[in-house]
Amino acid sequence: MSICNLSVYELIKGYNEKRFSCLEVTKEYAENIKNNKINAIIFDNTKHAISKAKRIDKENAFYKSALSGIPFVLKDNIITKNIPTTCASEVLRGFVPPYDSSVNTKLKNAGAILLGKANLDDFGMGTFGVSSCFGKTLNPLNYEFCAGGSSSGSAACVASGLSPFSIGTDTGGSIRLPASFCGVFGFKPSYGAISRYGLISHASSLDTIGIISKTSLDASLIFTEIFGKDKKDLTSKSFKFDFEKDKNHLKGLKIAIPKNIESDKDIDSEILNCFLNAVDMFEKNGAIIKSVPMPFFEKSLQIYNVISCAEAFSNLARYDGIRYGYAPNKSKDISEFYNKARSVFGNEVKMRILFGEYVLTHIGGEIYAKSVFERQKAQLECDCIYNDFDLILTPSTTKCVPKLTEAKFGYEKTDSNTYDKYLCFANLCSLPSANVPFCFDKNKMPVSILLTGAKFRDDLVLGASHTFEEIRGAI
Amino acid sequence: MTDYYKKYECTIGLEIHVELNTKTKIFCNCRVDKNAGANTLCCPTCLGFPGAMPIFNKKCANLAIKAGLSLNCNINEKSSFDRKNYFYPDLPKSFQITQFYNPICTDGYLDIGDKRIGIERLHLEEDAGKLIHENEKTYIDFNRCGVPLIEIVTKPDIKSAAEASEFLKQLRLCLIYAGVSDCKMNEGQFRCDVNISLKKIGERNLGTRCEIKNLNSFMFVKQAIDAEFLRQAQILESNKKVECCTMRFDTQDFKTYVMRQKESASSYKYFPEPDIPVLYISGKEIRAIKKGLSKSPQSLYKKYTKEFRISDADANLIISEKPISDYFESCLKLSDNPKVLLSLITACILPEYQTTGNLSLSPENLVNCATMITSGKINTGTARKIIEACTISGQDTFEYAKNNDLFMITDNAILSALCDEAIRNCQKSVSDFKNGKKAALMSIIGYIMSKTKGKADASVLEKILISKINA
Repeated sequence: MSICNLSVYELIKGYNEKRFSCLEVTKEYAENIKNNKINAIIFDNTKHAISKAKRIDKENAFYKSALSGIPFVLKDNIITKNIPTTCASEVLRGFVPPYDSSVNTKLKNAGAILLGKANLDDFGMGTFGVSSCFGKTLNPLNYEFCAGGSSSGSAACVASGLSPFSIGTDTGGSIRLPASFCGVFGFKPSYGAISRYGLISHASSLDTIGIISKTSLDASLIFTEIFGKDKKDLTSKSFKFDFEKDKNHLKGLKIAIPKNIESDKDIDSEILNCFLNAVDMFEKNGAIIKSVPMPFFEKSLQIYNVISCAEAFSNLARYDGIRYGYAPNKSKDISEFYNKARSVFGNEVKMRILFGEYVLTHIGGEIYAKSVFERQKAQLECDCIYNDFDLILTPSTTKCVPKLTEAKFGYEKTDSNTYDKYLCFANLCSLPSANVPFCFDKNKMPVSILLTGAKFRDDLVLGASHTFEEIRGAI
Repeated sequence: MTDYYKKYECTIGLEIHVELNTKTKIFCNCRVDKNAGANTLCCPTCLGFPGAMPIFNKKCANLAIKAGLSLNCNINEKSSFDRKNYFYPDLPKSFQITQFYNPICTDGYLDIGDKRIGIERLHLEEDAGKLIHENEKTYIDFNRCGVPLIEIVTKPDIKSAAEASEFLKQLRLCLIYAGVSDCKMNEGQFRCDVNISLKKIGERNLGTRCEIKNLNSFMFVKQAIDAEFLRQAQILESNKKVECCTMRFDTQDFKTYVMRQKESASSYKYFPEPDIPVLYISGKEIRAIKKGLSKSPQSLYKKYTKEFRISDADANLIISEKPISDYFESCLKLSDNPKVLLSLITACILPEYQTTGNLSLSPENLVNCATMITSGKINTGTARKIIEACTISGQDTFEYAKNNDLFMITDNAILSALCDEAIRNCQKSVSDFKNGKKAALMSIIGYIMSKTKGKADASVLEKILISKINA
């Protein structure tokens, strides 16, 4: 079996059994990256990666940590010291940070090997992977289709043998949706699990760093190395993480599914069928499924849009061209300077900034205040459900993977865009949530299901995903 | 102008920004140092770089609590931070982290004489950078970005420029005594904005408020208030409306000028800072801070004027410099003659401090000197000479007096003999005195003083001489 088809777990086994060297592994991935046609990589770091691989082989440094010698890609909205970090935006094109993100430092010290920075929708704002100043990312399973966003490159890399795992970010579904479109495992941990220091903020109370990999077992291995409280991020937390690989997590597992989901008009029929088949499979393997009213799904998109745009407006205000980033050449005064510097934001970004400012200003910020209240309500409703249930099971995206021709500017914000409907509530309520690929639609594009757990029960979400994957088998 | 004051009255509220004296900034570990080269005390966080995040310097909360306690505020056990969003080149993140919704202290007061000025709130926030205009260019120094500030907002209880000035003086002293800040106005550590509105005397509704920003001396505050009062009165006299705006005070022509339209709260789009969790302070922590707080200047003033019956002017003189009042308090621990100590401090210790900034003579040493005075061993004139010498040499005052034979003559036999000798040699003065010239006695005493080099007590001599002459 080709090296790039191996999971992280299998790579580690291979290293332990000395079946291949770190250099062989890294070279194969570097070659794939060089030849890739899906535009998944913004910055190619394979030269440095190969040097590091040689050193690891020479020092036989595989004892360092489980991730020694394991290559990865990092979404390009995560700061990497001395390596360009652009957020896929003209605003930061050419920006080389002199400081590092906590997650990159952890992975570096663990001996993991950075292959490159993955493409994304600029500033993490997008559903289809088409809003990058470096061009759109293609879905590796079929170039006519969207890779999904905003972690488009991260998901596409894992799905096409460009990297065994990738680090992405999820604010309203940005890891799980592209993972779904590309048919790979996507994990958004509990908010605060992985330090956000060095993550270029989109919406600070929603942003979560997460993992895209072939399997949930891989994700749990990686998660163990990078999660925990960081004094540079006051919102980061440590908590108990006991992932049990060999346990049958489905037996006796209490799973809630949204009541009357069959009548949800936003869900494509194929997605619904896939979901119901998955429910069957869970039930047949020992899980206890109950239909529970989940009223928060009705408003979760609106609340998410208001809060994420308001915070984005504030987080992106610092890009004024004065200290770093794109600066215009000639301006007659500071106003013109600001206008020109900020005119190079992408259209989706501009729309969200304007909407964010609107909700914070209109009637003294009433829209924002109402949304914050609704969010707290949703959190309480979720808490109630998790008193009686271990997991909530929903479809992942509401619609099948669209073609690139169907994804255009404006489509993102129209009423018909409900892709994130079942994804964003995990961000609003800070919950761990995993996208698990399950079957295929009529276009042979992947369809997934979503498992969301109680706050800080990341081990249970990954455990249940693991058991489900084993029962599902290879797809 | 006097007519205006008979017709209109003003309502004033003050907003004071005070730099806390911490070693590092409030939301990052950069040092605070006004002498550092431009842009040398910065990091990704205080420069607003992508992906940088704030941490919280807990010492800032402790100092804010100290300030709040010294101003009789409620200390809120739960407070939080918010973002104030606006664009300006000296604001790297394009928002300032402040406390809009839940400030750390609320509802305090400061008494100026008999009047109580209410304090609405006291909250923590970060300072912005500094713009430097030079050679038709503008430069930005970000060293000041993230320096911790407390903002103190009074209730609109102040009714005149004099009250405003007095309040600021007392507030500044209060904060210095609490150990919160050095409050050096010329270094921008204590900045005042004035909010003022006018209305006809007796009318209930307040007028439109204008804000005068960046006044950095008490004198400018007074002058600015007078100028703005005049400006608003003139507008109201001509039956026009005062526009709500932000003013600056021109220190050359003593007038206020409009800077810009005043922003309303919603134009700052305040919302809770998501990167900093809610700040919890326990009652235990607050009590510990309260225990360690120095006595306030107001309480010292009360003690000195009421208990020790020191004059108003003298009490203020001692209190105006904390090192001096600390010195006085140290002396008081060792001696209970405040008036003697006070006169020595005012005459000898304070001048040295004012010229050199030093307090060379230890409190113990000064107390020894004071004890010599009260026990009649020396008089105040001699004391001053002793102190002067010992300040330079570092010697003990008692030892110095003993070694230089400076003690007063107390032996009555010797004093009697001295008086006899003086009477013999000052016949004219004696007969003048016998003829009713009371002043003549002084010259006889003077003769004895010069003979004894001042080591005789004048009042004792007076008694002996009178009884001898009349005998």
